[in-house]
Amino acid sequence: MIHLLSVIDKIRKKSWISIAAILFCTVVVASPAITSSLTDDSPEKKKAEVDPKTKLLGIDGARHLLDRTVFGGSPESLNEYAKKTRKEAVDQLLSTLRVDAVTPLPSWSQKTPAEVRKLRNQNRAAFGKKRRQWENELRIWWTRELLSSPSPLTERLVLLWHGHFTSEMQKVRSPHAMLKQNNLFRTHAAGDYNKLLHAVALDPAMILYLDTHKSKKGSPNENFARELFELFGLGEGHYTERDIKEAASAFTGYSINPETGNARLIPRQHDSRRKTVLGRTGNFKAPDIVDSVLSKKACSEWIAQKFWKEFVSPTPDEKVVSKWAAQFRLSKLSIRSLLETILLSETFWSQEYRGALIKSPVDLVIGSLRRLNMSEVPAGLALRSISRLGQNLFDPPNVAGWPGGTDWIDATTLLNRRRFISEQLPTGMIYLVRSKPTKTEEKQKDSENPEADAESMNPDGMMNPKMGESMSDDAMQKERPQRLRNREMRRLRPQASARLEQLFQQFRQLFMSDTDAWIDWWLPLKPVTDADHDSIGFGRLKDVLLDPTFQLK
Amino acid sequence: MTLDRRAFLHLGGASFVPWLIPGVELWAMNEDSTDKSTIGARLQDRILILVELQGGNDGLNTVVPFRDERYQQLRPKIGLKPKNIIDLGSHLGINSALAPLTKAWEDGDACWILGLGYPKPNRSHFRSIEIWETGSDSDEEITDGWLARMLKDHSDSRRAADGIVIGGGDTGPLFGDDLRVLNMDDPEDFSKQARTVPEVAQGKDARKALEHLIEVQKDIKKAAGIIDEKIKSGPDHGVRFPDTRFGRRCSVAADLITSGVPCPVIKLSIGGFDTHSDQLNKHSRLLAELSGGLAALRQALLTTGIWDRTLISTYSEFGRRARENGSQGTDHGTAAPHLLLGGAVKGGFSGRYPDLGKLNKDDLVHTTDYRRLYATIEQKWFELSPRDDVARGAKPLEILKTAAKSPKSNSGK
Repeated sequence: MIHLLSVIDKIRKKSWISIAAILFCTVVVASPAITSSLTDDSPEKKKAEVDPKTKLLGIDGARHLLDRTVFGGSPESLNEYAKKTRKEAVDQLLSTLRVDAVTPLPSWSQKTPAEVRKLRNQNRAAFGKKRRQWENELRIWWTRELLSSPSPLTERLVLLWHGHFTSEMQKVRSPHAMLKQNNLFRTHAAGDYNKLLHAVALDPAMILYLDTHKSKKGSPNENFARELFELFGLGEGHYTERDIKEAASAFTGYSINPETGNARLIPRQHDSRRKTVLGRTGNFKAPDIVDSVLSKKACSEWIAQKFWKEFVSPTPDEKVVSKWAAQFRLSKLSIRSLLETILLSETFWSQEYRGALIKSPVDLVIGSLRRLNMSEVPAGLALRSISRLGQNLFDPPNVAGWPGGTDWIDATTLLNRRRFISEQLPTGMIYLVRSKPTKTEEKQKDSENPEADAESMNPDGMMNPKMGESMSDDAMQKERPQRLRNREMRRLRPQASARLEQLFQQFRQLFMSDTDAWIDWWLPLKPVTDADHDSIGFGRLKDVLLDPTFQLK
Repeated sequence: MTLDRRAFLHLGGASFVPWLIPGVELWAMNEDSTDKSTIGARLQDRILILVELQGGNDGLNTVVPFRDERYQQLRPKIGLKPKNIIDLGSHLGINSALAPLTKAWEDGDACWILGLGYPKPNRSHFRSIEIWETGSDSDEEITDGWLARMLKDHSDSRRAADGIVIGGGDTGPLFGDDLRVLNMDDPEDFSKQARTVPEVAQGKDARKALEHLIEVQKDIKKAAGIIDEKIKSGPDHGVRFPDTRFGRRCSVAADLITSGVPCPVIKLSIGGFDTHSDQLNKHSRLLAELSGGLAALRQALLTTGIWDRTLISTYSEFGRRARENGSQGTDHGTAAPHLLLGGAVKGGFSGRYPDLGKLNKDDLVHTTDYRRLYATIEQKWFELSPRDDVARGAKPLEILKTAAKSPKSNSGK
């Protein structure tokens, strides 16, 4: 028995120190024939400096990029990215960005505000029930999009904005408004921060969440103005209490038009006096205040810092952040350009920050399922796992969003994370086997048919949306996992195990069963636990996933 | 047995004596057994069991002001009939589904705190339970639970955990940084899970994130180690628990406590109290499940001599609307009575029942701030010096026996 640790140690030394070894990993994947000629690296090769612009990412680099931007990559995408330079990889990633979702909207989303109001007035208790059902369907809808989107980077950004411009559905109490907000984040995900902040300020869910609709001339409510400065746009220390009071009066008189569900200004409820906010004076209305925020240097720095924490580490390096912020301003606050700056920076690729971030529940659950090509599990199953780990989509704990980082992990959530890997992933596979038996399983023979298998698990096969169409009740039903009977579980378990086994072998093949190079694909750091080298098959993969470093990215 | 609420009037005299006579302070504090050396000591030998009644328990059909004619007017369809009420005196009775707790009441181990609530009540499940669990005012947002803040300065590495949540549910009042809280269905399953957690030597260049993960893994291993050992050598309390969901949770709590697992707080929950329609049967069933489990738990703790060191308290996000709705149920309301059980509890009623003649839009107006219960737990039960951010200045209630017995931990292990 050899300890995994020592084996990995060797590989790490190669692939981390020597650029040649990174090439080696890549080439191994592409062509086993050349492997032997490359394995005996000379010391010169190890020291050779290669311009990062022409250097290929290799497995380790590809994993790093995909872990941080798209919840982790499937073996196929990993191999694809491993063969790209940084620039090529980042270009490719950014080219996937979208402004809309591919998952058909829940059917209730077509109801007009008037129709919803009518339902509510007919029977409040029944409507309450209905609303909760819609809220749940909304969560399922987004989870499906997270699982199946051809641009997980877009969804990663939607999640980022959802945590930044928080609104809690339990307060907003309108799944329609929350859906609209979610789509707003998608429209502007990597767009123009100017437009995003303007849209957020008059977004109906935000208006309801931060009480803008209650803010009237004579009795202004400061809730939104405060958070606009403190959390959304500037950060503490860049405004005064007086600025908040003055800004609050500019936000008076906005409410939601009951016919359209959009924001509107009722002039007689608006305080139209002259206000002085952030050093400017005028008859400000809401958009003027937003413009004032956007004009501040602190705004670009606040967002650059936010992105550092999202994509690099918990502790921003101010020098680098202000450089990014300057670039961000030059680009007229283009989010896409900020993202590009970061992903192409030496900082992002620095070994110093590898594994410095703790995966959020969405990272872990969506990431694991996507990487294992298990995106077709019922979305409700994934959703349940995510919330069990402490992240309730559409309901961040408070206006500051999810604190993230080490707060994700305590004794309870860590055990639940382990349970997700050792129990819920295999259970997910049981659901997959049940809903979509492969040809092999149908025939109950010829267990070696990975191609058919791979095809049947192709996530593209399932999501074939036509925009404008809504999700049928049937489709929604499929996303809600029924409880399986023990007998059925027992019956399907062997097939599920076989399928996991097959997956594992596929992965191994991709890496030409070369030592343990494939572990680079899973873990950002050297594993800290010893694993049984002799254990084979999915059990082996599970050991790797249960290593604490798998919780990092 | 009945007790007049006046018997519980707070006699505040003792607390200001030390202020008047310089030099007496130390003596007085010693007398009070709250000098520095013993602060936190009660966290070692006393246990708090919190029982969350999820969904908002209907207080009016739990402790019933049945002699008040307005009760039947508010509840024409779902008002309890005399045959379904156990008269406890003071014009109050309890739902007969709580019969299993009659013995505790007769022995003077049960206290109903009446009219618990807070000003400007919120009627959302989420928000109101957040208020109860954080100890916040209606219009302020606090993240950490009130118990997390109480325990903040009293960490103790000998504990298996600072709190154990049994049978799912949020950590709620125990939510907070640096607190070791475990969530388990039963100790065996927990140990089984924990056993799969590998031992990890700290890495040399461990990043903060990795360090934290390894630290938490160690916590889990340690807790499982202590629990394993204690449970193995624990005494047999010989009590059969009801085969209900809540009964099984109580049984797990009994196992942990009687075997001496060191942990000051255990949280249990029982769901289903959101009785908007056809509530009579549902509610009785729930109260029967609740009282059956608690009665068995009491029996197990009495048998093993731990009852005097145990305090059980229920809580819920809100009571329900005094006036029944059109579906023979009740909607979200405000104040409600809560039950305190334990060998050190002064039996009876505490506080005043909200006046059915002075409703606020069909809702009861609270008579006792819920944080007085927290002050009692902090200052009287665990004998900690009050923190500003736990009970927020609320005064403790006089609902525990003054000379509460605090025998040293008799488990010896």
